[in-house]
This record gives sequence, C-alpha cells and structure tokens, in this order.
Amino acid sequence: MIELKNISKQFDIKGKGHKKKRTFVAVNQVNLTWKRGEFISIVGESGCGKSTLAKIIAGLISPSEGSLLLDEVENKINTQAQRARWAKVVQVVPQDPYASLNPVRKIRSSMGDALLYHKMAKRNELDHKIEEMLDLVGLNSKETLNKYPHQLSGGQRQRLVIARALSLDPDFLIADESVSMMDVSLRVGVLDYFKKIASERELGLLFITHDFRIARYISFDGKIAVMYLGNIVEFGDTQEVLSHPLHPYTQSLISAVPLIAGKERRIEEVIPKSFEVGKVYADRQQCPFADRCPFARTDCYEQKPLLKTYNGNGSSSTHQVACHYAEARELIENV
Amino acid sequence: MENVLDVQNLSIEFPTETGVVRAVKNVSFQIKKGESLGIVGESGSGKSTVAFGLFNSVPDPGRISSGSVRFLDGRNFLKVNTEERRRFYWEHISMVFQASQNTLNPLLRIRRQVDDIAEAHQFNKKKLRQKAQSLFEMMYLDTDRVMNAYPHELSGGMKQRVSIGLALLLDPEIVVLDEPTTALDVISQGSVLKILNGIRKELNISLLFITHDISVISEVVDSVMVMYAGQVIERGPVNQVMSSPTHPYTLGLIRSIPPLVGDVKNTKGISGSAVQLDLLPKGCPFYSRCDMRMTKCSEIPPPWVTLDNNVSVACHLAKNEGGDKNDRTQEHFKTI
Repeated sequence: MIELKNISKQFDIKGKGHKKKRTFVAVNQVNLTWKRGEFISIVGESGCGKSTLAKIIAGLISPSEGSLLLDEVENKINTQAQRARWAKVVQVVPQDPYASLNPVRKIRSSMGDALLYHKMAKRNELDHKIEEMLDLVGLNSKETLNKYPHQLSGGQRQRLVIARALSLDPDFLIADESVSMMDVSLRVGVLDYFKKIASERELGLLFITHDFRIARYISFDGKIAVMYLGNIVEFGDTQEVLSHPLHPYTQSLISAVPLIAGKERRIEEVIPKSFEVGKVYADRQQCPFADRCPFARTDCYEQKPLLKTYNGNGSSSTHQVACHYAEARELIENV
Repeated sequence: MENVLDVQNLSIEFPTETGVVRAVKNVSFQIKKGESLGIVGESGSGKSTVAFGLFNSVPDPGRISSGSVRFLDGRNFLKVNTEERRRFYWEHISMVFQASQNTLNPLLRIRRQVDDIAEAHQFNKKKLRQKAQSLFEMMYLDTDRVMNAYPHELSGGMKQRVSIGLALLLDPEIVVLDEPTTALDVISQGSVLKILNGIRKELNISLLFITHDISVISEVVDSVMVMYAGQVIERGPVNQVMSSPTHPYTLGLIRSIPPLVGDVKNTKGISGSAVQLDLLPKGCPFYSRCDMRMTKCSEIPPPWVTLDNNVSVACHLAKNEGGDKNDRTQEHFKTI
C-alpha cells in the first residue's frame, strides 16, 4: 500500500522587472491511499498537476512537503540507491510510445537496459528474459527483437513500453495519458490489456487521463480522483462520481464530453464561466475553482474548501468533495 | 438547394518504391448550402488526403489521378490556375488544421495576421479588423487581449478558436476542419464544438469535419461519411449511422467508445492495426479485421447499397430491407 500524506510541490517563479517573485503550487496537500490491486484514475485538464503528482509517486521528483509511505513505513527518495529500490516498486508507462523508445537502437537493447541496470538479469540470460517479456504482451519475440521502433505500429510500441515497465516486476504501475496519442479504435485494446495485466499480477494501477470515458472504463470497479490546480477536488468510487458528480468542476468536465447520439442523452449541463484553466498562487486563500465556477458565492473567494466526506442524499460514505456548496447532479442518462 | 461542393470520383495516389499507393479511391460526395458533413476514419484511411485534394494541394509526391472538385461556381477547381485558386481560398473555402499553433505566425500579433489576410485578398483592413473582433467575441475570446497577443501568449484552446475565427473572416461558404479538437483538453474541446455548432446555424456555413473520433461529431454535422483504406464504406444522416451502424467497421468505431453511463461490456476495440494500403485484398478492404467476414468478402468487392433509412453502405451483409438490417445489428450487439 502506498500512502500520500499532505504531499505538496511548489515551484518558485522568478520575478522579472516589475513582476514579483511568486510561488506556484503544482500539487497542494494531497492525501491518497493506493492499495495493491486497486485501480485509480486521476482526471483533470492539462496544468492541473496530475502529471506532477504522478512523478512524485514514481520518485522522479521529490515533494516540497509531506511524506510518501510504503506499507506504513515512511519512504525517502533522495539517493540514487533509494531511487533504484523505489523503481522496483513503482513503474511508469509514459504518454508517448513514439518518444520513449530510442529510434536508433534495436528493441533488444531498449528493452534490456532496465534489467541490466537493476541487476535482474545476467547478460547471458538477457535474451531469454526479454523474449519472455515480449511473449507476455503478445508480441512475436523472434520478429520483434531485431527491429527498430519505426518498424512497429503505435499499438505494438505501446505494448513494448508496458512490457518494459513490467520487466522489473513492480507492484504499482502509473500510466500517464497512455492512450491519448492513439486512434480511438485501438485505445480500448490497450486499456483492456492494462486491465488484464494489472488484475493478473494484482498490480495497483494509477491511470492519468483527461477523458472521463477512458477513466470510467479503466477504473470501472475502482476509484476516480478529480484534480484541479493541484488539489484533489473530488474523490470516490468511479460509479458514484460519474452518476452523481458533486463538484462543479467534475460536473463541467462531464458536461463537456461529446455524447453519442442515440445512446446517451444530457439531462443537465454545467458550463464553466471560462474555458481556460486558471492560476492560483500560494498567497491566495480561495477555492481554486471559484473564478470559473458558475455557482460561486462570496465565501468561495474567502475560504478554501477542504476535501470532506459528502453525506447528502444517502450517497456512499467514501465520496469526498472539496466544495462549500456541493450538490449532486445527474448529468447524463441512457437513451 | 444548390451544392456548395460537389466532388466526383476523386482519386489520389502516391508513387512509392514498391509501386503506386492509392490513398483515395473514387470518392464522391456533395455538400449543400448550410449543410455539414463529417468524415470519420482511422489514421491512414485517407480522410486528410481528401481535404488536401479539395484544395488541389496534395503533398508531393502525391497526385490527383482522376476526378473533379466543383464549388458554387461550377468550374472544375482542379483545372483552375494558381492565381485564381489563391483568390478562391479563404473567400470561398478555408481550412482549420489540427495543430493550430503551427498555422499562426509566431512573430506577429493576431491583429497583424488579420491585416495580412486583408492585404492578400484586397480587403479594407479596418473593416476586417472589426469583423475579426466580432468573430472573436463569438468564439468567447477576450477580444482586446487576443488581438494584441502573440500566439505563444494564448492557450491551445484559444489558438484553435482564433484559427476558427480567422477561417471565417472572409465569409467562406465552406470551412474544412481537420481534427480541430484532437489536441485539446475536454473543456476546450467542448467549447470548440459548441462554437462550431453555433456558427453553422447562425452564419449558415457548411462544415467539413474530419476526425478519427466518431463521438465528437454527432452534435456538429448533419451527415457522416466513414472511410477505410481510401474508400467510402458508409454514408448517411448522422443520427441513423450513429444509432444503427450498418458496416462492421462503423459498428467497430462506435463500439470502441467507452460509454459514460450504463454497462461497459459492449465496449470493444477493432482488432488488428491500421490499414496497410499496399496489402489490400481483392475484395473488401476491411476483410482481415472484420469479425463478420465471409469467404466471398476476400474475393468480390462489396456493392454499394442504398438502404431505406437513407444510409448507403459497401458491405456484402447489407440488404435493401430496413428491417432485416436492423435485426442484424441488434443481434450482433447481443452476441458480443
């Protein structure tokens, strides 16, 4: 089990000329519990800190505040050795399978590096290990090993990148927008594949996406966390969040998804006041979404709402929201 | 009603080392004034190449091997000389690209780019700037800020909305949009779709909307054309095609969109990878990936059938009896 306790990450923005030096909060006081075998989707627009959060969990950047616990033991990631140890616990599948394989190296050498670095294979058994990995993701190892990345399709590359992440036998897997570069028709195949591998190996899967359709599909029996400007604004079981979204931001995101004619129908629509992601600096104490929120009242600009369990209209006790005036809305129904 | 665009038997081919690849094969379609059409297909289906064909600017070494493109004036646009063609662009047909950040000049403020358009087409700069301002307002943009901004000062969604505004500047009859929302976030995408839906109704402009994601178009187009391997395989009113797709490929495209409500059991991707144009069977191009294929599909090209509900389709399974066809799709939905 991985636990995040009050994790924050701040970036200092240099002052220039008349502009003051300011602190930009990318991730703000995030608490999250992630068990083995649990599927969590993190949803939000670009600039909401979802990738920064993923990098903190993966140990690629260190948080400014807060602690990261593994099985209830505080885990520090400062030295190279600690980082290497953490890499065997959490692995990341990057967004772009085109950019994450070295174009001038054969698949064999791209795939073997991680195993050699972590001393999980000797050179003489490397080929055998890589072949095993490729078979696992359903690629023909004999054909693939001596190819260059450009000779493979997007879907094949994506599977290679997943295989590479799995080669260290991690307990947790983070997928950062892993299907957003692919054709819609091929996405579901890759998502199914993620689901299958993660269930078989009882992996924790953290899926980062801006698309509620994908989030709902991948973590159908899991959880969804909605992030806005570094804060988790809503958290709960996927079905609950989708059917009764509480936060106006979640509601705007769901309202913006184009519907399939003849299958889905809109009941109600929440449209934000601005289509642009705002900015909130450390020196302001307000609801991060207040500037865009169509329901904002004066308190929203004065006091920042905290993430609390929502108990209105018999909703499940795990559904949390950070809003002073949270109200469940039903937005979409089946035709 | 008159056609704003009439494309007949357009074929586009690319010579390669191993032979000529036909990226677009005998594509024909018409768009009436104020009517919008969506072209849907995976990467490599030839949908963007069709758009380049409309502008007679197929990238080298491609060439248009046959066909005609006629706009309102009725001349074959493919035979018009370069100078006249240049005038035609933007005043009668304009285009919005997927990567709008690359179509705006990074060194010029937006108002200078408006001036550039005015200069190239001999319009009054002052009037055109006013026009641009009112269009940007329609795009929910902060007009004063945007006019004086450089492209890098705007977000991706704002740049895309500026591009759409600029495309409308000279009152074209038709705007071609090539994956206009693919690079955008959900809320920006929602805003662009809302705007497009607004302008097509308010300004009575025809849209040609090209996308790989069939879910984005149902609110912005009237009819849809599904392409595979350079050929049109299904065409019809968007509601008909979306609610009861006939071609197994169209069905596959719709089934691969995870639903927002209800069960996800019916969600399924299309097997195999995108088309390889040099390895097509003699018969139906979708043969190798189709899960309803029959022996004759690999040998005999499917005939073009028009069904009762105004949907036309190229598939051996399609029958000219509405009831029969519906049963088949329904059954198919049940079996998966």
